[in-house]
Amino acid sequence: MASESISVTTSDDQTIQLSRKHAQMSQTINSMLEDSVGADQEAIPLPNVSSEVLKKVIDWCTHHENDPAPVEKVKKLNKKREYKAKNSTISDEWDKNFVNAELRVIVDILLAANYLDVKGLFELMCKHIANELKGKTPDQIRERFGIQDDLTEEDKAAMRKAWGATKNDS
Amino acid sequence: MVVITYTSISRIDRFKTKTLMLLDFSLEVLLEIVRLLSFKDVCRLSQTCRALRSFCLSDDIWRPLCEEKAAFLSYSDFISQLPKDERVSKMITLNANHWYYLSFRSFFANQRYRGIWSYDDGCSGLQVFVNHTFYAKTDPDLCWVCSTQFYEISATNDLAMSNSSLMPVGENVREATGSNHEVLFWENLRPKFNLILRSQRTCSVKFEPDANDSCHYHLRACEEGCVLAPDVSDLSMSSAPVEMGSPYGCRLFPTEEAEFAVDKTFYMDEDCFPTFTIPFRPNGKLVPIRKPPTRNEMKKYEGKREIRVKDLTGIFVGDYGSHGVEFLYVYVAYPSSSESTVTPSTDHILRAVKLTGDENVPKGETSFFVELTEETANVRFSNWTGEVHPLRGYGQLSDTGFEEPWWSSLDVFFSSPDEFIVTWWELSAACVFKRLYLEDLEDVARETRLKESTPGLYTTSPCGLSVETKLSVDLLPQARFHLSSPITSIIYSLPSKIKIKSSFDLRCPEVVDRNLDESAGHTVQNGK
Repeated sequence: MASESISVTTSDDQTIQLSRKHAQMSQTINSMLEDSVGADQEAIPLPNVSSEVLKKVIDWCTHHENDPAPVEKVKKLNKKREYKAKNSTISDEWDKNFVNAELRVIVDILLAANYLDVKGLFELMCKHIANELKGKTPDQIRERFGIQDDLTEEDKAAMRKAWGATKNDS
Repeated sequence: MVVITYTSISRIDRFKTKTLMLLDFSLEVLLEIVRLLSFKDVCRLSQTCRALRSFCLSDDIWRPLCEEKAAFLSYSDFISQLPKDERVSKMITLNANHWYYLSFRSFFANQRYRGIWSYDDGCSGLQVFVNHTFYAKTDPDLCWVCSTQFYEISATNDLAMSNSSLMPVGENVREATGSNHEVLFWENLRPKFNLILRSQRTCSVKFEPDANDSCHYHLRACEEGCVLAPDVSDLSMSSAPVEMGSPYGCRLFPTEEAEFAVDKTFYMDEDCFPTFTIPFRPNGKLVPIRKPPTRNEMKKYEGKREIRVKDLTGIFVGDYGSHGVEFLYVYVAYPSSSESTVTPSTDHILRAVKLTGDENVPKGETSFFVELTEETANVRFSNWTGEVHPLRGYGQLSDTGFEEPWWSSLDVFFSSPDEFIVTWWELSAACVFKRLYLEDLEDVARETRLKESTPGLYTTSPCGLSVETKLSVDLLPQARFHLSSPITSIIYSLPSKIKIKSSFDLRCPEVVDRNLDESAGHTVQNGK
């Protein structure tokens, strides 16, 4: 019988206990657990995730632990439809609160969710970032995300031409 | 229960230096995010920096968008979309090899051209169907092939024969096979023709001078012409294929297709005037009606003594005696076979075709035409007190039923760019025609319902156009024309601004299905 809690070691050398249920929401940890069935439960190293971020991830997992598992079968059936436009609206109130954080935290959580392969969380974070990008001018995007503008004026002019520029664009 | 034990406090502070957060993401993550964005947002994102630009141009981004836009069509799908009209589908001479690779981005960006366009070089009109398709040649992941085609929808004079054809007249991309999804730009492909979007509803076609023979036909007619798309807002009222114009009809494509031509989220152009594309077929040829000029546009001719014949093109309204007011579309054309029986040596004519008809000469038929010679490439205006410069022409007359029409001589005097007078020799009658300006027609596009015709106040015509005919009657100086018959010599001087109570209905009122050998036009019933 596997123990009820799993230890993981984060990038900043902290060891964190989390319940098996939460651990299994991460495909990455889940597969590690399956690989090491029967072996002594050592702390699983998560070198890409800091404790601060992991805490956030666990928060999310706690809130969503009873959610139905993501439906993978549907995706297979509709492989052709896979690229269908996704709605980026965040419906869950709790989620809305959750993403209401500093952008660098969001980015960290997104990267962690990607690494840990927590589907729901990953999608949520993508949606949030997409919402951040939506309706912003290139200048505003640069400002928000701290992007260095390395395009020349000529580049920009060419771009606008190629896109059949929209007037609202700067 | 979650237990968190802190063993040390260290912090990775990657973001303290303000670096590229978005670019920190792997391509995969970025892709997930960008897929949630709209086309416009992707465009904007691409304008932020070089790295994101090259990312946003990749096919990985555009392929989903393309597929989402239902642009995924196989060759056979495309064929099945063509008009159900047998005469049309029979004549499709598509070359199945006309498939080319184009980057998904370029492909998507060019979807805006998709649809039926009326092509008007000021001389003769025709319609073209611009289509974009892409399909997987063998393996969907390996070789995507995109194609742009430009088909002429044409009709010949001989309606008894299969007379419509969809003919590819050129393609503008070359094939680049392989699995690398190389980004190829439209511009780099040395297109044989360029479509230049001018506004939501207009674009220009510019052919390369060295295009090969297959494009020659169009080259001759125009170097650059004005193209009008069908009025999409009207089309969207019905999802069924739309029957347009004359009893011979030209089927339009269903709404979804038409919407590709004008994607409103896509273009912010403010120059979206209503278009009045009423393709009809005088003498069996489809003629798109060019946008009427605005009063401002015609101002440049003020005070001038002459005008190019070409610039006279437009919609005119005039009085047809007992038939009331009728509308004409005047344009330069090649003579039809029937017309060349009276003018065998003329290359070009100025033709006035009826937009509204009567029981004698129905709509879609030539009311009259004038011969154009090299000397009359410019038209000199006659004025009432001085010189007279008529153009010699022929008018079509017929008994009720339009069974055996004949040509009868007439003279056309142009008094200004927006007014001319036709004197019918045989009828001893003269009538004044006034130009309808864009302003006169602007409200038309918005109104969709036909007004009930009120006897005496409105004239309802077969094409669903009703006009307030409270016209002031003004007799023009008659001496000049020596008019003999008092009944037919009444000349209405139309008010400068005519109020139109209804619309050119793009969806032609229910047209009585007729056989081709039946005579045209006059039994058209108004379905509303």
